[in-house]
Amino acid sequence: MSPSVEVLQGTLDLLILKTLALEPMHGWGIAQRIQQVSKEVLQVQQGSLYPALYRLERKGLIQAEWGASENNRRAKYYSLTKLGRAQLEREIADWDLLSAAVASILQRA
Amino acid sequence: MRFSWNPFRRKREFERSMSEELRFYVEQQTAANIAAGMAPEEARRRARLQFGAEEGVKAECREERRGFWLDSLWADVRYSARVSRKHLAITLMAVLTVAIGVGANTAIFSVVHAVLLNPLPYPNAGRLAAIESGFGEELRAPASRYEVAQLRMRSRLFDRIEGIWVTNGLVPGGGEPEQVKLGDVTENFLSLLCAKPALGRLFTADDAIAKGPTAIVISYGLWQRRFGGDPGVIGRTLRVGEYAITIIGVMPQDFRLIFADDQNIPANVDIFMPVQIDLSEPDGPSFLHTIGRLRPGANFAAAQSEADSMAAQIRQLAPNFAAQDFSLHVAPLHQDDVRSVSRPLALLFGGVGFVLLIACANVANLLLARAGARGREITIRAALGASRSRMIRQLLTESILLGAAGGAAALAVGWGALQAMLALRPEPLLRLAPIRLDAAALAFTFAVALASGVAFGLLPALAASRVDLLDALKGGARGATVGKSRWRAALISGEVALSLALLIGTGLLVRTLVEVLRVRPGFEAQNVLTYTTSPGGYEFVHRFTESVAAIPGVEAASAVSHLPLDGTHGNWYDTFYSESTPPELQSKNFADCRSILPGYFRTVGATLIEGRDFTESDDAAHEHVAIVDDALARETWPGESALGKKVNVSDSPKGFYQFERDWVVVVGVVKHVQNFSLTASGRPQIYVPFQLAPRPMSYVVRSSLPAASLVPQIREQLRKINQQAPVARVISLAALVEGARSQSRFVAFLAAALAAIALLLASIGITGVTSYSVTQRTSEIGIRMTLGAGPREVLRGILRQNLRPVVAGLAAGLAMALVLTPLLQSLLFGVKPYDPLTFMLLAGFLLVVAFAACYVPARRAMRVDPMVALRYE
Repeated sequence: MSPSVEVLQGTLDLLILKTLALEPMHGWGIAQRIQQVSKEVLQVQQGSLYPALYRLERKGLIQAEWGASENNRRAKYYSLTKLGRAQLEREIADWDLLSAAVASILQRA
Repeated sequence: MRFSWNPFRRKREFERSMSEELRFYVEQQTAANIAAGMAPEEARRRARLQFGAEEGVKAECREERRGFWLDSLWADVRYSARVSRKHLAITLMAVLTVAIGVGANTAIFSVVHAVLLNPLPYPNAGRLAAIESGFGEELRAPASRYEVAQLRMRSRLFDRIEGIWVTNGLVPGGGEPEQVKLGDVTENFLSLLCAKPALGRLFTADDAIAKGPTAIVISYGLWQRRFGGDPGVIGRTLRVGEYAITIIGVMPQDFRLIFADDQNIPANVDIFMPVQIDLSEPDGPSFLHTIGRLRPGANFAAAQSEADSMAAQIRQLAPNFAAQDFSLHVAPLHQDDVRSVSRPLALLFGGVGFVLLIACANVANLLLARAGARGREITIRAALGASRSRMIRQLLTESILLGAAGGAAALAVGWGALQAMLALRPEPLLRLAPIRLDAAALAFTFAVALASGVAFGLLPALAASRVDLLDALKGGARGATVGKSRWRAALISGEVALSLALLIGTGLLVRTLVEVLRVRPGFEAQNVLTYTTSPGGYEFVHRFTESVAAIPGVEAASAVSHLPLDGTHGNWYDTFYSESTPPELQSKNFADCRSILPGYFRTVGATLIEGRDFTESDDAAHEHVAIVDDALARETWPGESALGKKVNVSDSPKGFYQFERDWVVVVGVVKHVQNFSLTASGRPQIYVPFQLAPRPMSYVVRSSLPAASLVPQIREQLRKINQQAPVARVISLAALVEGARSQSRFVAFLAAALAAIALLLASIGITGVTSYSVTQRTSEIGIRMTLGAGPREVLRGILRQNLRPVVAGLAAGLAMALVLTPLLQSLLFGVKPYDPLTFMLLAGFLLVVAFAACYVPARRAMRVDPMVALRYE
């Protein structure tokens, strides 16, 4: 298995928001997408996914709706709210700033 | 998701949907595992493992959800209960303090609510107004029938104007005839105040016929007493005086007349008779206490304007109105009724609010102390990740629970306090409304208790939750004490300031009471008994008085038309003028008029300054004479003797209530008598002999015999003269004087009780805080002693530290008192609001008390053994 890194809580929020920016998804789908896109480097600890989703919902950044999944089961689909989109922009900007700063200290390109 | 208002439903919904969602996840993972080649059971097991502990995940999700507060609230409540049990002494002290503070407020609120806030028990009570006639400076006079007729004709804003006059009447019956109160009322007076009679009907315009009453309405009480509640009473006749009149209705059981104090209208009138209103006598007597009902949509300001213009019109109608500067005054009836008690009640309510603030300060100090003792527990919670707001919420829950518990206990305290208050029998209040602890008082108690919980809990919660983790865990919460002790000192200052303000207010009221008790009312009330009987002419009155005077043990007996300080009898007052008064001023001066028998002044102990008393020959056939009081003599003939001067008064030498103006010669001057109040000087007084103004009389007798043995002998004498007449309303003059003191006494007692509670609470607070600070600083004291400080120095240090806030509080309290005591002005008598003696004395007293409260725990500091202290942690 390729080396994997546990996703920290703050970053998880950012990843969830970004994933939902593309299309509404249920929890399972979000976890799969993150793992796929990061080529299995980022492993979402399932135990922290749902608390994160509920927290984001409470903050009004995402909203939930029950719908039918691909295999016709009832699943809860999450989507970004306007507030969520704005927050996503902000967090991406912050992340860029942060990673640039750390990189320069470590003197990597 | 559908939002349900029921929090328990919400929780179930949430749990259900969360389980379903997590299950879905696990199933998807299982499917993926199967697709990757695992066996179904293995796939499922793997999926579960990868998911993690389901309960743990659920717990975290629960933390995040909306509406979680209900769960955490319950957890907080349980935790608070545990904490309270652990620090039981402080908890009990706090609950007791809250109970006292809130309970006192509950008691006073019950009174305020019943008397000031509840509307009058009449239909459309909000539209009822008191209408008073004004003559010159007399602004609260009753109206004449002519005035009422005029008002009815002219007013567009009042749809009803009615009036009442109360006298005494005699109802014969089995055994002794009963003396009852008779109400002469205009035809719609009763229907204005009463929606439906208990039986029969109320008056209509036809019932008021000039020749004499043909219908009466009786009270529920009379119906029960005289007719045993017989439903066939309608249509029966009742003898009233010399008439036999048909009963047409019975008033409901709870009907009461509620009028202003100074109008002397009793709450219970037994018989109502109709009075006809017409324009026949423009200068007829004024006797009707008038009320009106506004049309829907009219307001009191507009009604007053209309009254002003009506008064102007009436002034032009008849010369006497213009001469007397006639005016009209409209006020909401409820407001008029409570005018003599609203200020004292409002002030008492303010005072008891002070007591509550002091109680809250004490509890805040207690909670600060408890938070200090829990320093370790709080720091651990902070270290485990509790956020500050979470801890504040929990600490507030504790204090609100304390408030709630205190509130429940406060109900008992409040009920007890209310019973104690009612035992003082404050007649002016009892007359206005039934006073009890009702639903409003309950709601008030809990609202105040919970608000107090937040108030006294906020500060400790904020202070305690500010935790410096590193510092605190290292050992000893010493770092936090400094900040907290500043707050404690501030709370003590506040308590002392409020206590001093209350003490000063109380001191002024108590001195007022002392002054009121010292007032010489112009007569000697000791050993004088009064009583009445049915009215009679001179023969009867004279013979009766003579026979009573002849009873062995009786020093003197006489009679007067109006007893002094008697609140149940309407007044008789009218204009007077001397020979030298110019015509335009002849209607400006009013005096209280009294009809007396010879020997009255000697019997009641009034002082005859000049001239002589009346004799039996001072009757209508001889020269008409009068006796005036020194106030009238001084004002009318300054610098001269009043004897021999002539005064024009209104009397009725031709018979009962047949008033006419009459010139009388002054033959005596007597010292002014306090007729209505011990504190207000009142109008000047004119006395005329009975023969010039026959009226129903009240009899007075001076004797050292006890009433129990005297009254039967009086009855005996009366029976010899008139079989039918009863001896009624036996009351001592001393009791009348006591009644006049009752309001001052009531207010002073209550204020003293409040001040005592405040003083007690403040002392406890100071003791507690000093004691606590000594305990906190034990090790420091030990160090200082080791370094050579003597016990006295240590004591001085502690005292200095703890007395500083007290002194600051005293200064603030004096300032507060300076601002607030002018509010007491209307309650004070014989002492000024800025009386320096009261201020200084009470400030000194409080300082001594505070010093004692400090000293006792501070002494403990002296006995600290340095060795023990240093080891103490």
